[in-house]
Amino acid sequence: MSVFTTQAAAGSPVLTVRGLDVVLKRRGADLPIIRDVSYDLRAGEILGIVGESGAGKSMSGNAVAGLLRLPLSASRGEVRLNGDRIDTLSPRRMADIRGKRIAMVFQDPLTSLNPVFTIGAQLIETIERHTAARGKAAKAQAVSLLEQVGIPAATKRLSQYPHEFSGGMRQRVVIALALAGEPDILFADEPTTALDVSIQAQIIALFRRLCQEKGLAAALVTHDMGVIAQATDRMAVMYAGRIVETGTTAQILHRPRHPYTSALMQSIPQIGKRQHRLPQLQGAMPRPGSLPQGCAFSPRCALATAGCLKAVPPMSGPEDHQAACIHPLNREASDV
Amino acid sequence: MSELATPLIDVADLGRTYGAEAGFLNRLLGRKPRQVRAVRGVDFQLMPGETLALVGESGCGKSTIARCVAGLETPSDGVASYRGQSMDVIARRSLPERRDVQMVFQDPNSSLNPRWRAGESIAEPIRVLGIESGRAKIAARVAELLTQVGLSPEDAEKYPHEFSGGQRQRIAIARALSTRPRVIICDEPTSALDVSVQAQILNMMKDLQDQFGMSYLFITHDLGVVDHIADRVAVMYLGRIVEIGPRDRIFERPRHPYTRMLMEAVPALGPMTDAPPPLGELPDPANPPSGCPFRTRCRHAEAQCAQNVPALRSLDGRQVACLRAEEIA
Repeated sequence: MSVFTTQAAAGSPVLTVRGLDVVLKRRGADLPIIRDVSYDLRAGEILGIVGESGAGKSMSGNAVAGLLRLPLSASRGEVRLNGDRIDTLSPRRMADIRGKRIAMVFQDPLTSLNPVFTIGAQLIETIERHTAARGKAAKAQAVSLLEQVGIPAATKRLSQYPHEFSGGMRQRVVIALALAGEPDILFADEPTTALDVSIQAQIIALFRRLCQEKGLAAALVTHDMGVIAQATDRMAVMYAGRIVETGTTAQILHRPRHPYTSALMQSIPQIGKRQHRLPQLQGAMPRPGSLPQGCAFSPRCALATAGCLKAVPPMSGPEDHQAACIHPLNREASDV
Repeated sequence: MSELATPLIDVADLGRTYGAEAGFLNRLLGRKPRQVRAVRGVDFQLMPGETLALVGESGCGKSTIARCVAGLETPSDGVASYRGQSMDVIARRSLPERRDVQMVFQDPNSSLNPRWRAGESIAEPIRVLGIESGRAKIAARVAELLTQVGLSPEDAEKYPHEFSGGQRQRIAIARALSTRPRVIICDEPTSALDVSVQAQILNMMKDLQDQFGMSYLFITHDLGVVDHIADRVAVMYLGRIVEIGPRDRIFERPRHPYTRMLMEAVPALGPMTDAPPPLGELPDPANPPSGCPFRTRCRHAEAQCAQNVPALRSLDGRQVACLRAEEIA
């Protein structure tokens, strides 16, 4: 990435998340699910949130969008949209922000679309709810949205039902719906996971184009490091409910600082990088409620020492590439 | 593997069509039934000790082939045979050869009975196919299998829900190994697993192959996994093999435009690429394009590509079904 395209990154963040905790409310003690999650979303930039199942990556997005329902609850931290706190808003005010200013795209497009209404009806309803356009203007806007997301013969397709679209085209419709309210923020949770690789590549290219053209601040939640590499500017790696590494995507992929990030990347079989055995991580990620003392990764880490068990390691390192590890890999000269 | 070795699995002109026959009313009205030829004209052989990967996107027919080779489905045309005998006949008549071909599925949750202890699931084929008899001998075999897949003999007493996804897949593999098979058909065995768990399972499958020498017919959509595990690769599109040959040949220089598109579409773990994404989408399998099935998405298609289905032909150490392979790749 050239220095010129980082201009947006220099601007102030559109969304800031600070110190977010999510707990599962239970009789007796609450069970922590995610801990101390902080990140920024900036205009025109895509943040990747990556982790294995159960790491808490989807939960952090749902918490920010106000989609948590009891027994899950955000117990600490703050979320600011253009400087204003939104985590303290009533569910009704939050519902207005969601869709209008924060849009969501999920893995399975069929759950986001109503099977008994045409695509046009659903798009026009969303446009009329979130913008001033009505009637013919709303319909024209619907056609324009479908064209922007690369659906051919948009006018004709308005009168079709979700089942008449292929999986890739459905996901494009969902993205068009998300854009209908002209949002500032786009949260996409595994948007390409159900798609074939050739269609996935098309959707990634679409995301990148839309974020640049519209200046959207986007978060892309996925388990797929390849998607992170090809779609995002910055990334956050989650493990057992915490962000363990964050920085520019190029830097993390090139020189990961956290041993978990490094081990995860090495365990991915890649074309043209054949090895007789894949380097493998032993064991499994601990579940909430049975986290080890100190660093949650320490039982699986080749570099762990007694010091790792004392306390949860704080984030450290240069400002644009931090890791929560007291024995980071690839130390930089600027390390303290 | 020598040229003289006889194949374990021989698939010849295999075809499988789904969909209803034309009913009386439809015939009267002259309507054509909607039939999907999921697989057609597929030929390949699986040699002892080798891993052949069948790779392609959804709807290409790779799982249908797996099911025909396992004897779970009857082909509409052609035959899938194990050492000269039709798998369909082996499965339907419960011939002793049935123990030689086993299958591992993508989702261990649906392939294991939730009400059975892990040990019972593993013991079932041993008992039913008469591999061992006597309670003590069967229990000893189950304990041995659990150890071979990296679990402990005590795990025989646990139920599937007490295991993680990766451990459940280990149990499914132990069950497949229980009959000492010569061939294991693996249908996306690691696709539902996290990458760190996938690495554990792939390494284990390679170790087991080194130890027991069985062949794998490995079905997957993940080219990274293919490059890691396969000796030979067959790339499928819309029910046909479009390129087949040794892994090194195909990965170093893919000659079919679809193979190239697939390899370029895999998001690389490196710098962002600015390459344009693949064109178009899979055509309706019930109504495939004339001629080359890939021509509607191919950047190199010409008029001649619409005329006949290109046959597989030898080129550069593999077989490829493209008229223009020399010119474009």
